[in-house]
Amino acid sequence: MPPPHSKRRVVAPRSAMRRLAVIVGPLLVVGLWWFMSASGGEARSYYLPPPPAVVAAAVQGFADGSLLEGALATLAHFLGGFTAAVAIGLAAGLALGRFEAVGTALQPVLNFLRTLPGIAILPVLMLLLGLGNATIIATSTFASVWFVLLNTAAGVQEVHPVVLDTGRVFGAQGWRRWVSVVLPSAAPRIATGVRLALGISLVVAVSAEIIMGRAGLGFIIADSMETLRPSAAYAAILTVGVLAWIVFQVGEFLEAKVLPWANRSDVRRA
Amino acid sequence: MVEPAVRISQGSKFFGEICAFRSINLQVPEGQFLAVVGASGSGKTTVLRCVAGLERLSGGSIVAAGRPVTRPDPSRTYVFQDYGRSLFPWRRVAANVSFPQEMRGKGRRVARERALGYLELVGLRERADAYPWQLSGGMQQRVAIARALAAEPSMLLMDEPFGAVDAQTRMELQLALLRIWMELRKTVIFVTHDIDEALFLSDRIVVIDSRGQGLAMDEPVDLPRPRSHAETPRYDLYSEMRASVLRLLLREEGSEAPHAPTTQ
Repeated sequence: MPPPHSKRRVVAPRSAMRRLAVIVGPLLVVGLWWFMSASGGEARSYYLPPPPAVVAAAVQGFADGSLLEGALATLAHFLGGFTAAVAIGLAAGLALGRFEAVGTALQPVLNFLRTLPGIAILPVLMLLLGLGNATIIATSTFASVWFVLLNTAAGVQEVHPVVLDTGRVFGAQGWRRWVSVVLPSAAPRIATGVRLALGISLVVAVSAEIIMGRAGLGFIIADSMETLRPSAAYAAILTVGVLAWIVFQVGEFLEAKVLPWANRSDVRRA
Repeated sequence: MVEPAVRISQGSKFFGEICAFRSINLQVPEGQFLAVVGASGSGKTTVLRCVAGLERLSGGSIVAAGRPVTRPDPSRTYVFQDYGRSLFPWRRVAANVSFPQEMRGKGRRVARERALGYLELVGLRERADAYPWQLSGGMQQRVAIARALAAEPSMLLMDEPFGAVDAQTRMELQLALLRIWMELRKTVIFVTHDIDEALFLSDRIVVIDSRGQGLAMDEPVDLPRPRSHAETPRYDLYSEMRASVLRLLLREEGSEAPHAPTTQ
């Protein structure tokens, strides 16, 4: 153990190590992928194409516009499903939080719907809404709306009595009570629901594309495998990964912008 | 006779079967600093909440400024013990203090301008743009006091406001409160379980009887002002009153109650 005063000298190489590790880790994974691809004979390298083949497929996919088009379609499906889930979930959640008896009565049903894997509704919606974008968006909304709804209702109901008393003492009444006291107080909880809905709506949108899509990255993945172009499928899978990463970064950025006060440990605890 | 700031007549409050307090008769003159002391569970906070209009009496009446109290009114503002929750974490310090004026429909600019004035009064103007949770506990309670004043009430209701801060900070807050009170001369009803705090701050002490017998004590505190933590406790009156309040509280807490307690 180095003595305490040498701490600063120890910290520098460690952070350099860490930076190196961040590069080495992914390289190792790609190396392992390459090794697995090359070491298993022809069949395996067919289903697990080597990295250069995937990169070539990705370059080609972006060059001919198909991957970008797919990414935009997936983004549209996800944004449609997610936005509808937030709008409906927020409105219904506020109503449920306001009328506590209704909330209590519906609680078991809502909890069931929340745990139900939302993609299961897809075949039904395909019959009801046809084989278009509306079905994908509706499935994505159905899968994610409950998280916003339940968290909003809980957030509204769990506003601390001292917060409500403070509002009353200073004359917050009617809509002002809702806008200036209840909603901001429930906001961190609502944000939790929105964050969950973000992930679920994207996953379900891509799943629906894989199953029935006419467009989107999910469709490209399924279609490429069916037409025996695994490299193109992997290129689309990587693109979905990048898209999801961007979506989550934007989500985190917006949350920090809208609720700069919410990421404190004591609020998260409450 | 001048109408008192608050008049409680035969006030009682029950939560179901449980008695919070009973047979309270109390008149608080305009501008008085009243300390309400009582054993825990004696209902002193509930009395304050009833005066605020946050709770309704079960029996009797409360009249404030000539009008019966039925609900909260910005003319009687409240400082909660739990400043961490009572200050809104989503509003910066100045926006917390301007909240009462905003709720009355004042524009943000005007409300903020006034808020800055009250922050000046509690010595926190330079922290106007911080979030309350970035401040120390003592500073947060100062912000809460500034907010209570920003409603421009005639009466300040304070529920063990300094109960959650350390001893040093508590003394600083007590001095700050007295300075502000001397300047603004609002009626203050200050609930505390700390006898020294009650004696140090108030013009008058009432002790609530924990057996529901109304007020166990109601005495003026004729100690000279301005008060000081070093000098005020050295008066004989201080130690005599301290002893008699203490005897009252300890007897009540320790005794086999001669009357059957309502709370079982």
